[in-house]
Formats: sequence, C-alpha cells, structure tokens
Amino acid sequence: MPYSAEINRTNPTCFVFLVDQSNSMLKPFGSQPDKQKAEGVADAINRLLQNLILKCAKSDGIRDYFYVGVIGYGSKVVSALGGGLAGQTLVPISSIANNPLRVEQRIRKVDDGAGGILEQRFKFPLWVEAKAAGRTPMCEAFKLAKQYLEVFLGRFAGCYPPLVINITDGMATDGDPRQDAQALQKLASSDGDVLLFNAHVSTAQTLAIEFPSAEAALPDNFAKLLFRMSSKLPARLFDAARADKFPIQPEARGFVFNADLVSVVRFLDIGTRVAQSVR
Amino acid sequence: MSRNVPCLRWHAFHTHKRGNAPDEYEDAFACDPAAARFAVADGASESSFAAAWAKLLAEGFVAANGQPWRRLDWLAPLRQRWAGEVDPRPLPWYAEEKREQGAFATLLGVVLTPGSWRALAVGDSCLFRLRGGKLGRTFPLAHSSNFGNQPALLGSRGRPADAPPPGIHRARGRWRPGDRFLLMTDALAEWMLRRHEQKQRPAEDIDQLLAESAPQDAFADWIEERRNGHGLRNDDVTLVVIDL
Repeated sequence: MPYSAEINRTNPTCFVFLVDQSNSMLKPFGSQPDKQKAEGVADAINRLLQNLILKCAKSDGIRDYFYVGVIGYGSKVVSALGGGLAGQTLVPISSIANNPLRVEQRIRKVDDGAGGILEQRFKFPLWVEAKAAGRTPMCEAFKLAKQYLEVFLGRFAGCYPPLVINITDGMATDGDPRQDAQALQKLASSDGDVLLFNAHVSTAQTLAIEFPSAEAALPDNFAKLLFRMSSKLPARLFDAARADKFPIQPEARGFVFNADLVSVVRFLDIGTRVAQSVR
Repeated sequence: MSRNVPCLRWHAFHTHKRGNAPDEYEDAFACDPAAARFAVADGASESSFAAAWAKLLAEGFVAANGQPWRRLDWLAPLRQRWAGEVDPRPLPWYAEEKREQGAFATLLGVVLTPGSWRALAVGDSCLFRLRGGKLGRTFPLAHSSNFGNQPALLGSRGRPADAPPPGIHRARGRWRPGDRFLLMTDALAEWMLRRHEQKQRPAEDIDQLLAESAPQDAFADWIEERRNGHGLRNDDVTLVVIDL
C-alpha cells in the first residue's frame, strides 16, 4: 500500500513550505480582519514549523524524522530561512528547532480545572517574518521546490513521500501554476507520489473550509484552482482526519480555505499519537 | 489473599523498536509475584518523558494498596512524582512545551486471587488467558482490527479533579491451575490476535520461546523473526508470561 513507509531517523520524510510573500499579502486577512494576510501567513508557517518540531521532540532532544525547506516567493524566489540557517535549502528538523530567528514570550489562557481561567506564559519561536513585496511567482516557487525534492529523493528513495505545503492568496503572476504543480506531484519515492497541499489565505470573511472533496462550495476561482492542484489525502491521513472528527468525505483533498494545515502534521504517523480528546 | 495464589512461574521480556537505541525503549513492566500483581505500560512515542511515566504507572499499579482496578486514587501521587522528576530541569523551548503537555501511556494491570483475576486497562496493551494452549479470554481488545495509533492513554498531567480519565476498562474472570496469562504491549498483542484470526496458533510461538535454553537472550531474535516474516509491527515490545 502506498503512503505507508515508516518515518524514522534513517528513513525520514521531507516538508517543503512555499510561502507567498507578494505585495497582495498587505491586504486584510479574512478570518482576522485586523491583521494583514502576510501576518496570517507568517503565523501559519511558524505554527507549522513549531508543530513539526514538537512532534519530533523527546526528553533527550529532537529526533530527525523530517527534513524541512522553506521557500518564500515575492520579489524573489529564495529560501526564506534566516538567522543561522540563511541561504540553506533542506535542513533536518533539529536545525530548525535550534535556530529560530527569535523566541517571543506570549501568554495564553487555559482552563484551571476549577471553572476559572489561568494565564500561562509560553515561548513562541519565529522563523519567518511577515513580508509582502513584489509579484507572485508561484510557478517559479514550484520549480525550486522540485529541485529541493529531487535532491532529497535521490538520497531517501524509499521515504514516506515528501509533502509540499503552499500557503498563498492564490493569484500566481508568472503563468498557470497547474503544470508546475503537476510536475512536482509526479516526483515519487518508492512509497508514492509527492503530495501537494494548499492553504488559501483570503480577504473573504467566510467560514473556514477544510479538506473539501468538491470545488462547488469554494468561494472564488483562485480557491477552485488551488483545490484542483491539491493532492487527495492518502488513506491513512484520511483515516487519521476522520479519527480526529474532521467531517471529511471520500476524495477529500489537501486544501484549506482561511484555515491552517497544522492538522496535517498531527495526522502523520511516527508512533503512538496523543488524541486531542485525551490532552 | 494473594498469598494463597499457588502461583506462579512468570517471565518478563522486553525489547526496543528496531532502529532505536536500547535506552529509547518506552514501554515498562512491573511484577510482584508475592502480591500476584502484574502490569505493563506503553509510553506514547509522541509525548516526552513517556518512559518515566510508563514505569511509574506499571510500578504504581503493582504497589497500589487495596483494589487498584476501582478508584484510581493511586494515580495522583504518581503524577506528583513525575512532575517532581521532570519539572525542575532546564530545557530548550520545544522540550518545555512537550513537558507542559505531559507524558502519556497505556496501562494494563492484573491482580490474581485464589481462583479468580481482575484487570484494568487503559489503551491497547492486552491480556490473554490461555487454557490448554488455546486462546480463551482477551482483554480489552478482541480483534486485530481494533488497534490504531490513537489508543486511550493516561496522562501525567492529569485532568480536572472531577473528571475521571476516559477509556478505562475493567474485567474479571476465573482461572484454573495450568492456565497461562499473557500481558503484552500493542504491537505483539495485535500480532497475536491477527495470527489467531488466521488460525496460526500464536500460543505455540510463545511455547517455542519459553522452550529456548535462555529465553531472555533469545527474545530479541524471536521478535525480529516475527517482524521480518510474520507481520509484527516495528515498535517497542513487552511480554509478561504468568503460569498458574
């Protein structure tokens, strides 16, 4: 069965994040209109990286189950990793964990277990800053991701298929991105084709849409285009999503509209998971 | 009352997941033949400090006063001990966050009394009672399709005081001299049930292991053979065999 390779330190898999940093990202973010889309996107990618790291964090350090690349596309198409990782392409997740740009102190409200609310301080690391400049060269970003993955697949030919996660407001300015998306999805390990998932960040103040199986309910043509470019959820991810009570239908695709894709990180199997309901 | 159990020969075996270091084993077991109490636990791989928590749970069940399958009041001091061990450590941001979430583990414990047994389970570690070499009672899971990667778990941080941990199962039954009990963590339990469903007599595989001149030394190879050819999932494995 495809998409069943064990993910471990000798056979890691890979995430490539494509982050739209174009000028259109200055507009307000639909689900939080007081924020710019660029801030929503930076939050999304930083949360994804955090969740990947936490998935690999053990008491004795980080286990390198994942390699990670972050490509920003706007005025340039380049690695968006900064600080100690500036200019690097794919790096093990432990390098990401140990090289944030900075770690902010934030506060969250938690249930104190006795009917009250507690304020809890926590550390919030950042790797990618909000940025918005230039056009939207999404095709070129797909081409660069393909180069990253060709190198990775050359080294780990039997890996769980790499995942490409594209976070964008959907308007490519350098052509029809479908062809480059397909070229990316044709790359494969012996366990299956590369997966492309898209997170559409929109100004539309509509309800979030997660893992739809048809495009009819999507609010605009950009969303529909991104939906068509998104891979179907492999069976085990589909089952994990169902187990997490996502109301998804067969043929569900790795596409979300004004929602984040952190759940995809949760669905990946690296061992016994702690269900949300147990936490 | 447990003094009257004319038991009992027992063996405990364990090995780590292939590809991991031996000290990355995150299952645990505890055996007190005098009290006729036995337990296995399986630390959830996605949580941190899970090995320590699994060990506390297994040992805590075995050492609990009274009837550990009823009220779980013996859990609170274990949680305090876990926190006492891990909370003072200086850690990088990611390990701190994981520590806040707590560690998680499954638990299966059994207490034998003359002629009868009682067990408690949270999650997918399983108990099997064999009679005449045949699989009799299975607890808490009965079919290989019941296993997944999100079992019920006991958390080290606990839940609000008035909320009991979810997913607790209890069972009781009778035993006869000559019965064998097997306690095992999920990968081996799933294998056991699947082989049974395929009419493959997995109990005979256990006999084969115990017939080795040095079963402890043979265990890792015995497991590896079944990982390679007989569909045993690669995971930490723990097995406790109790002969009555």
